[in-house]
Amino acid sequence: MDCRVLSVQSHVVRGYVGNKSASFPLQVLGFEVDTINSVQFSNHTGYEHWKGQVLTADELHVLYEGIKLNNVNQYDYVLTGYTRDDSFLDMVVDIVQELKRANPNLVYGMYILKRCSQWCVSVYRPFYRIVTADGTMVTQQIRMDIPRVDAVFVGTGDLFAAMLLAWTHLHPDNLKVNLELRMVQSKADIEDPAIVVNAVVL
Amino acid sequence: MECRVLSIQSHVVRGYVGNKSASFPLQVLGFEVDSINSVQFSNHTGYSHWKGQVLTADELHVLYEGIKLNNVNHYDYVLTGYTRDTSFLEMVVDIVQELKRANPNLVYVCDPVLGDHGSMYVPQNLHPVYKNKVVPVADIITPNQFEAELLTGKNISTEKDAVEVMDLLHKMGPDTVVITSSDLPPRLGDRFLVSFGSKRILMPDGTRTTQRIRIEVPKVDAVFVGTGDLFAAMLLAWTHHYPTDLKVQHILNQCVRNMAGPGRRPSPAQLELRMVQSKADIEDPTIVMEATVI
Repeated sequence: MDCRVLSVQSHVVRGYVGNKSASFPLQVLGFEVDTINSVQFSNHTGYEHWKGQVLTADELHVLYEGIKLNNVNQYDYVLTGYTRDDSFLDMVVDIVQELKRANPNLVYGMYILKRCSQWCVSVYRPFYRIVTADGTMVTQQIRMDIPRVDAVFVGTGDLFAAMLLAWTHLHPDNLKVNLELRMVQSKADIEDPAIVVNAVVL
Repeated sequence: MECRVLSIQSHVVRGYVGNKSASFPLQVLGFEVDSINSVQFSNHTGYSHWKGQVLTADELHVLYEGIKLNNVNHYDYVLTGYTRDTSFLEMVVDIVQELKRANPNLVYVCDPVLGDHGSMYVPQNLHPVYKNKVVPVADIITPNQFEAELLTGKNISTEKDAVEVMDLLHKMGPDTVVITSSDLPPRLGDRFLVSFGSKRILMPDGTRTTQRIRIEVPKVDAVFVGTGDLFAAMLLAWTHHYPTDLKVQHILNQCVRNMAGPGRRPSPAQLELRMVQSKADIEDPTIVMEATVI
């Protein structure tokens, strides 16, 4: 599989959020992951202290220019996550639009942070538009009841988005299968996840 | 296995050098890898173009401070490679020394990148910093022949010279020295190159002994980038699993594959290491060359 992902997310020296959360699992599943680090922090902002540097929209543009000058700005997927800067996000959109012109089949995934109640993992109500063989469009909707974990984890959303990308790539027509394969924590589980939560087709 | 590595190396958006080359294999082998990116470039400098930003010594210090303030500055290993800035390198030494005070068993794996084939490809003023400050606090170093000669001031023309140079490097600090490549004539013919390893061991009775090996490595007819970084990371990993056996530690990966096809000159893009495709080889490498004890 020669599938190339561009992931524009945070980098933390220690821990697993942003690119740290997304890269390893995708690489374990055989994806080529190009990563632009939107920030470099010591750790995520849930710790008592955090320190580091942020990438500006201009610096993002410079990095993209390097890729483009070498004629290697061809990607199958773009993945982004938590961003605090509007001008940075605008630059990301410009880059995605240019990449889509280079590859019209590019899929852009964006994960929006949802504020959850204190002990909540998250509850999604995703939908999926599929074009069937005879050209009609169907919408598949599902519901999942997800067991709560009695702790607050950080980075799970980033991991979720990355794994959704991966399993959507491998099972493009079945949202149920994709979402069931998301609950993973480790390499063996990433490679061969057990189904622990069942989705019900609505 | 809860083994934590701090790796301070370059980051490239695309391709496999520096932290990109070291992290994935170490993570596949179960190591926790904390990575400080010394630069962020679009790609390595062997391509036609490269663009990006560098981290200053102060910014490195700020990142380390964040780790320290959270009381998580505890590492089993530190790994460093290609650096171009003396003040950055000096800050790395300060950090290593502090981490060694926090964990006296910390192992510092250092690739003293200075140059190759007779010439330096970093600024000259890094040489005294490596020689006087970095190598003395390193535990494992992976110089090539040129770097070993530069650090010791002694030329290598024979196997005996290589042994003497490795002994001189041991005297400077590191208990494990690997000369990753040399110009010495291989016994197996010109499709091979000769590398050496030397490990100083403390025996139960308190005496020191030195285990030395020679390995003839098959050459590949292409120029790859990032292989030295991968080598240092894998040496770290296998040294951890086999701490007393240098022979086993010198296992090399089968990661490198030429993608250009017969008769065509591959571009730097095509010569990037096939890292994610080599996951199985990283986890379970085959022994493709034998070491000879010398």
